[in-house]
Amino acid sequence: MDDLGGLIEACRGGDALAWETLVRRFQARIYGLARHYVRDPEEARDLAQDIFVRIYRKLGGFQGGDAFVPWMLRVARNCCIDRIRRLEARPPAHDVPADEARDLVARDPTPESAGDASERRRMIERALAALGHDHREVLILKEIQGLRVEEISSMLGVPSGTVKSRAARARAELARVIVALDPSYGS
Amino acid sequence: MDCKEFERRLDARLDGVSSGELDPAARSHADACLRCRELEVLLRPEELTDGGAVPVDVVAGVLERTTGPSCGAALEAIAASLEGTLDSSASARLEGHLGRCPRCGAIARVAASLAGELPELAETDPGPGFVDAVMRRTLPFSSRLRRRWVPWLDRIRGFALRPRFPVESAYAGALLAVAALALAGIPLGDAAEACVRMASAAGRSVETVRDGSRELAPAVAAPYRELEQRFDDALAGGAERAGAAQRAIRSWTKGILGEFERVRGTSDAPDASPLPESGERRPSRDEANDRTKESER
Repeated sequence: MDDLGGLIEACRGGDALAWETLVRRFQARIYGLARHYVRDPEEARDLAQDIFVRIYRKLGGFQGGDAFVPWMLRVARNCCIDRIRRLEARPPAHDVPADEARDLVARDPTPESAGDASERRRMIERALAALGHDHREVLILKEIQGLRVEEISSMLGVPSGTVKSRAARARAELARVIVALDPSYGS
Repeated sequence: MDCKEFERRLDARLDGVSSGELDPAARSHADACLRCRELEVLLRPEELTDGGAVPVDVVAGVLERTTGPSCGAALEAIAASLEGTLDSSASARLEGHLGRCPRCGAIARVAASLAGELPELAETDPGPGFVDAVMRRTLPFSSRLRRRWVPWLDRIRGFALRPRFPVESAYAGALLAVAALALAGIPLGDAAEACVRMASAAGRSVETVRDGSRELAPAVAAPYRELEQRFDDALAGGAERAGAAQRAIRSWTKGILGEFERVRGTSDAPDASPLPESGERRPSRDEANDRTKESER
């Protein structure tokens, strides 16, 4: 596997093959992140492409090879937030009653995910979808993407202590939702 | 029945006025009213005398009327425990609650197990074609072309650099040329022989290939001569009226033949003789054919 620093330098030098390698290496991670922000697979796929386009354009301004993943996830997160705002501003094609909308969120996203994800994974994704934005985001960044508390603190603009307590509460809340969805989970 | 009436009947039971069991109306009220049910349990004669364990629903009733259910606080304590900020006494209280509340116990177990399960959600396969879609949106066309064809070009280059490649390709080219002539209905005779000779020569040296080309040159020169003669014949009747056009065509034909002779490298051949200027006697078709045959020989 290529050294990440060298790969990034080659990308910045305009090496198309290096850029392709970089996209291949991080495509699953970026798509996974996009799926947690927008749950529709097609929307997430399009969003993931947008994220890579933005990374490509901003790569010239990136400083430091070791911090690439946090930098990449920060760009990705901003892109996701922009997309969510646009989606919220866009009027729905038809009126969806609140209860029905909640059911849509709780339901399995697509049959496609049933093929490649385990039952536990689907259950966690359903529970994540039911969390509030702040709790979901801190779980995505800290527990799923593995960013450090300081990095999340800088990204979200909140103190480190807030990140820690929010992450712990979010995990407990996620567990509560999972048990509510499936009392036999984990037994 | 209301709560006042229920309390009167409880008093009567305690006073020994009535039997130990509540009448159906009082029982029905107690089932519907948590407060009265709790009161009935607390004032049950056997509970007052033997000091037995307090039923769970009494604890729930008391909590409902005082601090509310403790599961919310337990969830906060679970979070604090995950964060590592729960002191020992609070931790003991939480353990006590978890031991009695199966639901909170399950939540605590799931919350602990999520630490190992959540990182597995970091990556999701976006499916085929994703990288190509990103490349289309990021790289300019020339880079995409290069990215797509570089591996193939490398293979082709490696193949072409093989030592036997000139010989093989010359033979393949010759066979293709013969096939093309055959498909076009052209007699293969001399052409096929020349192609094979040329292919053989290519394998030996470039110089030999050039020699093979020269052998073909007279066969190509004849149609040019024929063409020129036809132009001459067509314009002969109107030479005076089309003098300028005639001279232009002559010049054009002469240029072609001159270039052809230069390629052949046989400037001293009979075909290389200058064309007759305008006004001179033009050679007849038979004379031209004779000259062509002579050059072929």
